[in-house]
Amino acid sequence: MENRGSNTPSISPAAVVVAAVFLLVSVIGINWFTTFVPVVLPEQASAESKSVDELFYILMIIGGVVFFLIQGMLLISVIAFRARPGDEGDGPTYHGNPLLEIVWTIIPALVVVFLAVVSFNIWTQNTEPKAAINMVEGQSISINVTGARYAWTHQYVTERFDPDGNQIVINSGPELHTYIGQNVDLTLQTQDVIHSYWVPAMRVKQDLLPGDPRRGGRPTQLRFTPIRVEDRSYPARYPIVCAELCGDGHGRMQGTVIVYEDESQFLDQFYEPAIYAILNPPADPVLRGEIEIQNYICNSCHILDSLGWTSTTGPSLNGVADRAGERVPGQTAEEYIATSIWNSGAFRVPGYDQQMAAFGPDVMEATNVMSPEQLYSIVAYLCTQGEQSDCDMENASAAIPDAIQTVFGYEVDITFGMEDDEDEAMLEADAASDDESGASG
Amino acid sequence: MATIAVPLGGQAEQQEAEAVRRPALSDYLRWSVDHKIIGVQYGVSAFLFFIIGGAMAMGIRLELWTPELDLMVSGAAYNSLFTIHGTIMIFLFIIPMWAAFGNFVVPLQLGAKDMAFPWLNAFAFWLIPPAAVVVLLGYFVSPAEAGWTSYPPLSTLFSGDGQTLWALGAHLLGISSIMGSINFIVTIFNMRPPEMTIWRMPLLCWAVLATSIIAVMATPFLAGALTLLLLDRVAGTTFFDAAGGGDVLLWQNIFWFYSHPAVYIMVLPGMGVLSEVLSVHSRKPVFGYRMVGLSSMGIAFVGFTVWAHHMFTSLQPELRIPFMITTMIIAVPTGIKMFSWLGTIWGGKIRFTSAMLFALGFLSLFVIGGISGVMLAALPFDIHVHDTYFVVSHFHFVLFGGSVFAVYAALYHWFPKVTGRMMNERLGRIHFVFTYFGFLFTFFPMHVVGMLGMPRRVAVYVEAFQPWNQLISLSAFVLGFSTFIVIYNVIKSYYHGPIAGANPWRALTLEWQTTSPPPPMNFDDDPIPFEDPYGYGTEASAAYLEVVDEAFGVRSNRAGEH
Amino acid sequence: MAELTASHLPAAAHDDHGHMSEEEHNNNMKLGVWLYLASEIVIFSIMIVGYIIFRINEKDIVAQAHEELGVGLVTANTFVLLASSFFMVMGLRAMQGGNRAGMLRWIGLTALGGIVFLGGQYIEYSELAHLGIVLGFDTASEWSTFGMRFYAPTFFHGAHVFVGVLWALEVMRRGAKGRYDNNPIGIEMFGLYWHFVDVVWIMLFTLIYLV
Repeated sequence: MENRGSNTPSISPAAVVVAAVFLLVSVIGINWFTTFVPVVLPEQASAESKSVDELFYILMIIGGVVFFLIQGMLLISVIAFRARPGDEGDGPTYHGNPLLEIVWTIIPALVVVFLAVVSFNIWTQNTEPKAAINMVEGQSISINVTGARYAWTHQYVTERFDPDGNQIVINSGPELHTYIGQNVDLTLQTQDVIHSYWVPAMRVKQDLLPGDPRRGGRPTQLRFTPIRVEDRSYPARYPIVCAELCGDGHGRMQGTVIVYEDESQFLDQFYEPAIYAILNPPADPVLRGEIEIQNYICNSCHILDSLGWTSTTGPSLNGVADRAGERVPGQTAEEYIATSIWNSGAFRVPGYDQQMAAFGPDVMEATNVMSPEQLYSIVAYLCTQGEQSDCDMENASAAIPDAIQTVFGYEVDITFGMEDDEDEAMLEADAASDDESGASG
Repeated sequence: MATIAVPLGGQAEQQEAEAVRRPALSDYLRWSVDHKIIGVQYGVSAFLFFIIGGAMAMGIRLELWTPELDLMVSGAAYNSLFTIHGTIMIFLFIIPMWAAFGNFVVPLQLGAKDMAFPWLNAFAFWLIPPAAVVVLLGYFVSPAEAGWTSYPPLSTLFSGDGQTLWALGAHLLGISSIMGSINFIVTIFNMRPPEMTIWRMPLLCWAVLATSIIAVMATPFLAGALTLLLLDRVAGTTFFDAAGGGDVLLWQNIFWFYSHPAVYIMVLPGMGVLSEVLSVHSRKPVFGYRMVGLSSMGIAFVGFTVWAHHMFTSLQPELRIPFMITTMIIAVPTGIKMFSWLGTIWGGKIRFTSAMLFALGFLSLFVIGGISGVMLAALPFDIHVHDTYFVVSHFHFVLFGGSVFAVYAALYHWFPKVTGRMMNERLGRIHFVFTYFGFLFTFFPMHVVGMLGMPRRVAVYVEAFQPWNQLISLSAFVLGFSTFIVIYNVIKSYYHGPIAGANPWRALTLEWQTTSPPPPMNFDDDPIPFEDPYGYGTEASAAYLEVVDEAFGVRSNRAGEH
Repeated sequence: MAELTASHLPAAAHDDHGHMSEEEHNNNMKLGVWLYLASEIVIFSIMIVGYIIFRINEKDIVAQAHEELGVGLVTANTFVLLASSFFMVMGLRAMQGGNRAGMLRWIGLTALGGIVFLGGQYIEYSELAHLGIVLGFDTASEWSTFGMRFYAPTFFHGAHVFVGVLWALEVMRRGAKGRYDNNPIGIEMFGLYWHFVDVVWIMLFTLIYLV
């Protein structure tokens, strides 16, 4: 190593000029590149997205300087320092320059410290717990998101109560409804594997982690605040994507964030109609059942084309009424369907290894409580799912309550929901309008 | 076999090579304890797996031509395809490929006659074929479909028996990797001749040493994690099952504690190769030799402190910040290497050999992977692009733009030493052009689709991303095609390439100071290393090379002159 | 064809360490074993740390398990293993003193110690199985989550003792042929391994049975 530093040439003026030229080119290049930024990132639909994109700009500027510096040096080297034809000689014996080495250790270190500080600030700013979360009608409600293979379910545990004193829970299926300026704070739980709740337009993402059900699972939190996007008509829709591999239908596991312009639009178009529909179920048990079944997390596991359900964790419900009569000898179709909902442990469809969640009048989870009347209407609805139903649909109002009586010994109040006889016509109109507004509960 | 085993020296112009015998092809199919044979065995088998894994990548890109699921029968079939693609590329291609060059070159560079444990060396290699059979059997029986990361509970409660075979195969490959690495460490520490001091060691040896230390310390974590995973799957334990008091994040922690350092297992030897190739082909010493050597160690050390950045979306939020900081720190030693390489070629006399082109390609692409790496370290931005195509792009820039380009550079650089023949340079240049641009147009657009909202590991996607995906797929097919050029070149050059002679690149490191291919004990006399492995441009080095030329006969064909 | 090409090649397979001096060879072997043990430590630490986390979170189950486990048998077992480490040292010393028969006796006792230890572990496992402490998770059992944390490290250690016994027998076979008369490195390597297995056991014993 005696040669080290013996014939150290000084940095040539040409190199300095070239470096200056490339710094200039890189600045122009970056300016040109940043014009593409709107093309490479989704809309900025949340307060968080603003600061994340700012960080992206900073990273692009620093990254751009590094990129153009290194590619430029590389380009100059291959042009200026190529061996001329016939030149078999060696380059200068130049082992290094300690000063230069210190410089290119310290400068990147400083840049990295700068980036860490900027990122830290943006991170704390974005994750700072906000005071008024999930505010609806001046009250803070909880919004629970359930991930299951391969569907998202959103549930609003409202501060309203039905006549029996039960808290009203709105199930909006794969849709998250919110409004500009609402501080959204989601509680995420998974039914099976790890999922990841990602709203690209909001720049937020959080994994859903399986936890011990005896200890209340392992809920995780996700916070963001929607903001107004220029040239957008409201309500605006943004995709929800599952970002963590969860199996066969991972790519299909999608949802929608629906952002309303303000709280009153949110209340008018989503919240109030949903609660009204829950409080005023249609008299026809089939129509009522169609609404009731969407208040539960059935869509997390089952396919049902009529309602747009896509999950394959459990058996498909398409044509369930055609099969229900033959599954268990001695059981009518009505009895079979009722049993499989309330006493879901009774049997398991071959080929499915997951036990269905428990539903019934006295189950622990508030969201899974189901009265005999609700069971009646859900069975009635499921009895219509098939080409030639095994159920006795002529006498549904007798056959289904009888089945529930036989299997569970519960008396069903078949007049449930019929108290407001004079409003019957109006109720049916409501049910129809609910269908139009999507899968809202 | 009989048809391939062509006796050497059959052609008239090759009579001068009479003295140097190549092993017969059949020797490569047998158990051998010669590190040079084992090196070739590693290399050829790893390249075969590269072709299999590459074919699977083509299948993936074909499926992604449309936003619908059309080529595959189900999403699960697609999942198993990329699972096995990742597994093959990491465990059966890149890691064994570096064992190939390490095995062939490191003892020669050190001036050693063989590895420290020749028998163990052969055993480590012969573990790979059965492990590969187990992994591939799993693929054809009932494939693993949880990705190469195999997060439970998807990989425990929701996966078929192929997942068990996958874990067994990965276990065997881990054991093989540990054995190989112990061998490298002992060889580098104990087998150097007295003249080969630690600060005269070529940088490839430094890189292999750093890599092996990582492998010995990190791979047992994979072994431990896989053991628990297998128990969960087979024996009914619940280490990773929350319903049984287990913890799904336990797997992620142990797995990434291995797998992040494993990224450096895959790329550090490539960086060692780069130091060799850039210096030799630009006829200039490596700039800041000690810093380049030490930065390998720095990367190896810091690499153990960053694992949880793979868990930025699952870790408790307050634990994410420290891992962001350690991750960013890694950029510093990587930057040192980058600038040192630029300093190496700056002012040199660059020969545009194929090896050099791929080394320059590495520099140009790895810098993009490095920049996107720092972007991913920035926590708030990572949250947006975590588990998207941005990440897919990033690690392909590092592992393809980095490691595979370095593999090609190493192939063109050491092929003459391994076979005694030169590769065809014209084909090499064509190969480079196709690979470089095919790669760039495959993986650069992936940054964009990722940021726009396309998650990784999906067979169906939003229609708006179709033009991007078609551009990516088309470029991927070009990239896939480029592989055939190098296969053709290797086969053609093996039989008909010009005789290389001992030192076609006039390099100073010891592997070139013996015949090509080297005799069974590597050196006929005890080799004397030159005082500086990269001391080009001095009269002493010219005199040293002169002596070597005289000792091994006429100077061979220089690259680019045929 | 293979013969034809092989005939003009120098012997492809050469003796493993024909080119190394004895000292080089010994140094390589020792460094190799040390590195191997370093990687073993990692695997054991995963299981031990897993147990410690469990120990902190589930104090009740562990306290109950301690009552049931009892330390009588396992303490005796620990002493057997410690003694076997001592026999191991004596065996190496005997060989270094040129006493081949003495070495065979001591290493034989070492192997015997290992076998007794495994026997004790077998008895313990059967008793625990009677109590319902099994490897797999079982919702019905109050031990549901203890079994796997207990069996995984202890069984993994037992497997190492088993390998050690086989290794001891191999050392005796080679020793009887005079392989170690001039260079006892093979015994030394086995000794490193056996002491390592012993040290791991002392950690497991302390953590699982005592603390």
